Amino acid sequence: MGNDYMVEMQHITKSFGKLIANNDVSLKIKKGEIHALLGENGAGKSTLMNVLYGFYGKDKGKILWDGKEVSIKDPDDAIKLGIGMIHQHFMLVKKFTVLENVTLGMKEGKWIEIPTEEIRKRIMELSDLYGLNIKPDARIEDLTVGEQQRVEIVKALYRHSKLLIMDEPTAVLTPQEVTKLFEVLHKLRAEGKSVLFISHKLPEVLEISNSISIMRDGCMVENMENRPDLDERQLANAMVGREILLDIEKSECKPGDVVLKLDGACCDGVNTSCGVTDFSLEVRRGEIVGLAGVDGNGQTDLSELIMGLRKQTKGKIEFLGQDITHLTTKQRRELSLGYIPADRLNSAMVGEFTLRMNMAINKPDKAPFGTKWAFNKKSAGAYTREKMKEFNVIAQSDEVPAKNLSGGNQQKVVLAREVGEKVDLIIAVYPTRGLDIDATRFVFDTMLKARDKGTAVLYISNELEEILQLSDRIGVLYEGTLNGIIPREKADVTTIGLMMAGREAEVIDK
Amino acid sequence: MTSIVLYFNSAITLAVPILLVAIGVCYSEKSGVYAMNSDSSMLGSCFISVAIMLGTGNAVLAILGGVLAGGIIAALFSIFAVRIGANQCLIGLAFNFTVMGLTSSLLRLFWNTGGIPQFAQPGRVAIPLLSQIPVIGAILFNQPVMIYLVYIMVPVSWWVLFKSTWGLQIRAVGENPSCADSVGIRVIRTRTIAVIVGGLFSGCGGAILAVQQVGTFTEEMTGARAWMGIISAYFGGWSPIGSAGAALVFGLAESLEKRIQLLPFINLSSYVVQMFPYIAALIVIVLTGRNRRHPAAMAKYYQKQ
Amino acid sequence: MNDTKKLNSATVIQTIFRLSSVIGAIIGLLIAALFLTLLGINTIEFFVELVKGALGSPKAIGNTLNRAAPYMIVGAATAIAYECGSMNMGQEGQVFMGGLGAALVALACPGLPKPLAIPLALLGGMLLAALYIAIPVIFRLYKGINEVLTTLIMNYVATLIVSAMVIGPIACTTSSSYPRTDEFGAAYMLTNWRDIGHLHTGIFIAVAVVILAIYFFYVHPAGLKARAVGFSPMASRTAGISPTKVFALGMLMNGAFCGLAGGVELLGRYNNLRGSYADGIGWDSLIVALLSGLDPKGVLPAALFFGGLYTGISTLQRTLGVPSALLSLIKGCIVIFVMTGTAIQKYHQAKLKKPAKKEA
Repeated sequence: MGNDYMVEMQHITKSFGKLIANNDVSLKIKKGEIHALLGENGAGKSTLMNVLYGFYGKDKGKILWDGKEVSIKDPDDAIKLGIGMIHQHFMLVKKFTVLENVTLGMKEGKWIEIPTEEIRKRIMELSDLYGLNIKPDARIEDLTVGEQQRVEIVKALYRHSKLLIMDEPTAVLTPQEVTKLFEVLHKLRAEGKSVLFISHKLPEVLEISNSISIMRDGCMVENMENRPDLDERQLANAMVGREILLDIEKSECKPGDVVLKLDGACCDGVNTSCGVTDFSLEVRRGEIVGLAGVDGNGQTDLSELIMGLRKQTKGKIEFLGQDITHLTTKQRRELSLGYIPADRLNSAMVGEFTLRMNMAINKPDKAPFGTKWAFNKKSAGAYTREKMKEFNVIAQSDEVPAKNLSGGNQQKVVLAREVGEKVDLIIAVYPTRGLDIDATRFVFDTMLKARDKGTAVLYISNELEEILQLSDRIGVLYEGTLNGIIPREKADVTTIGLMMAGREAEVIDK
Repeated sequence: MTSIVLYFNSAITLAVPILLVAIGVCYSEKSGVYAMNSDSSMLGSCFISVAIMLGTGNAVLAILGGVLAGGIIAALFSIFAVRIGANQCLIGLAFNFTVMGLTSSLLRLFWNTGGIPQFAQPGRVAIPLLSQIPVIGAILFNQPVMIYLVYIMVPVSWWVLFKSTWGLQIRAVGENPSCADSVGIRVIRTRTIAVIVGGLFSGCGGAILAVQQVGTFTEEMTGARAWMGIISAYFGGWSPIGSAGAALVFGLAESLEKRIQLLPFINLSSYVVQMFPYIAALIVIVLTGRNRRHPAAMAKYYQKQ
Repeated sequence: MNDTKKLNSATVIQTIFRLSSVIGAIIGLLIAALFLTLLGINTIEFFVELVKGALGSPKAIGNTLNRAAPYMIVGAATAIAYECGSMNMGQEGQVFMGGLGAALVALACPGLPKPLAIPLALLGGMLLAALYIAIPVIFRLYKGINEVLTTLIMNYVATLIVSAMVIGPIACTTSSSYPRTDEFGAAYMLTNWRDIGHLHTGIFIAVAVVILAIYFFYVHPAGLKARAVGFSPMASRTAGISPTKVFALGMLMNGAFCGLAGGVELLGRYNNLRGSYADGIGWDSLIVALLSGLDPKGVLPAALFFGGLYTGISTLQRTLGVPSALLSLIKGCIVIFVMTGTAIQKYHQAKLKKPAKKEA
């Protein structure tokens, strides 16, 4: 019997305690179609996908696979049906080879020897068919991010997946790698496979998808075919439910004297990161320097090097003219700067500590938090509450553990701590990761306000749109080096994209 | 010449209980669980196997009973350490106290101050052709029967852990449990089974120690052997073959401890001599390279939503 | 209406888990009683005699407090060290080394006056014990080897060292029925009161240590930094705190206070050093630290409980024929249930609490 739809999710409801993550959500995906699922952070997209893949159980609703109702209780069931999932954070064992990762989860016998020859052959077959370019005996930790993603795709195809779910697949790719991925997706579609593509990147969604579904606040609000006349503004409004300004008002940049200066700075990488090589950069008062780059090209290395969390092997770092190369992190913390690290919950806050204690953690022995001999709960609490109001942090009190807060509110607390008092330099690394539009807006405003008051801002992010909107000057991080720095007026997506892939800025700038 | 051969021969015999624990630790820790139940599994097994030996006089039955006891203790351990997610080191310590208290109390209550009388231990069996090989033959192939089984268990365990599908699953669960879960591997079940297998091996070590080597049960008779088993596994990179090497070092040290007083020119206090195995342990630890990293997801609790 | 009901049951369950220490202790005792019933010993009699043995007479109370003193010192130090992210399991050996250190001072300087003798001896004990724990610390810092294994092994070595010393270099010069050192001068004995079961001044030292621990943990800014390391080494580094420094200092502090306890036990109860004089103090104190929920505020009640338990079971050996190994059984069961309570609180309460975070 001919059935147009590969999968139909009907009236799915899923709650976590009081929170309704999916509220009567329905979704239909045709066979041989690329279907995009759009929504803000917190809209419920991941929950819906996890229900489909069996990671979560649904409270209400039906799932039809090829017309028949099915029950998906764990990933096993999903895989058996033919659903493959490619997670945002790849589910690969770094130490194993490609072949071993593909082998995992095979049901044929526990005690037999792994049939390596057979598996190797099939991997090569799939690799050739879809243009994936995979070497079966490579170790995952030696592969690039783009290659690792293709290993995930091979894994799914190996199990005869008919539907591939991809969760934010382009977040970690350069624009050029994205093009390559889209070629693979087209081939999949040509072979009759379906792809469900979760994203918040509107231009890509418009480029690749056949149908688009939009979620908002746990509900499905739109289902549409991709038409030539659709534009980003319409999608964005559906995502947020109101007219939003995608553009930011920025006053003219009037740079002052140099606040932060890196001169040939180098440091080694940690685990698989690339470290920093021969980095020279100046950040001046009243300007925002944005550093673009694909995740994993030295963002954390650079910011940690500046903060003294890495051993500097060569070069110099100066802050307001003072050589800080040999200062410890503690000593750098006493300078007038604010640091917003990438990994919010793990690096910037102690989840189990109260907000009050988190506010104090940089200097618990200084006013208003305490003295050399005693921590003053009362004054620390009063200060915290004051800042919570100023930064619009929504929480029960200053005594709740930080891990209870939402991502956006946590970030606001970090901002309150780091830039609540005027500082001369802000270093921000992926500050809007995982935040919804309102919180993102707040971060932008904070950065711009600081810049207008004369603070120097170093803004490191992998979201190209953000960098383009905020920065006065844009540089690119590539493999731990500064691959060019150009004024905002001269920058566009293509130029930056090429720089992100390693091409020289001068070569492009004809 | 003979005394040197005897020295090495007895080193192997003494190393075996430690090696058995080490093999068990390989399974357990590769799956991401600290094998802190090793000592309690071993000691419990000593007790049960001696009890069975006294009751039936059958050494095979006694050893099987000990193995089973080790496995049951490991199963209980896995409930707390894997299922519930309590701190593995402390739960292991608690099991140590519990089993020590239980066995010592039972010993005191049923056998009073006299202790358990020693029974006859199974003797050595020389393998016909192999034991004729000069030096090596006398050392390796003139051992109690159970030791020969251990010779086989080492390569077999290596194959299971590194070449079989099940071994791949165990290692995956230890490295990246989310990944394993996403391909349908039951993380908690895999870890539980690995821990139980570890307990069976520790139990085997305890049974062989009690039935074959010592011939009776005394309070806390396992001493630090289980910890040495854990250190051996660590040194061997959690591979049964590497662990065998380290376990041998411990066997050599213990054999030395037993024999050094017989040498006429050595006059060490018995306490200093007893330190040899522990000093060996510290040396092994120091020699272990810095790049010994536990499986990435060691002791991290895993939970499904 | 429904809302408040749910809230109440959640609070109740939360309170139950906070009391997991108490529940753990009770369950441990009940299991021991059950075990004894199977062997013909009456449960009621067991508990009655236990309490009598622990608190039934001035002598008993004195013994209980004497036993609780080292528990308090080591328990408080261990609680703080664990909260700093270290996991020292070598208290047993470090206590022994403390006694050795104090003995060495006592034997080397026999003629010192009392106000100088005791502090010096205790300091000697702390120093030796701190040096002893420095070895596992170095292994951890330079080789990345987990301190659990190394401190455990060092326990065995410590008792052997003390025994070897007692029959060797510092052996008694006169004949004796058991291996021991010479007697220390009278100046080296802590004041004690014979009528209260030889209760000695160690208890005051112990209480002072607990108060110091509470102050450090809850009031001093360094306590906040140390706790940060225990919860999140990464976040601490960002804040300028050095996790390695905190770890090393925590361990050394832990070792030093174990040494103090060893010295207190030695000088309070004996006038010479003999092997195995401090058997079990280290382990019991570790359990006291766990029972206290790794919180200095809880160390006092936990230590008193355990001191009473130990004293009670010791007398039960005589009165009811209960083997002293039973204490081990109880200890084990208590830890199992206390740690289970902690784990349930950590991982399984999510089903009861309402999540404030949205999962995207």
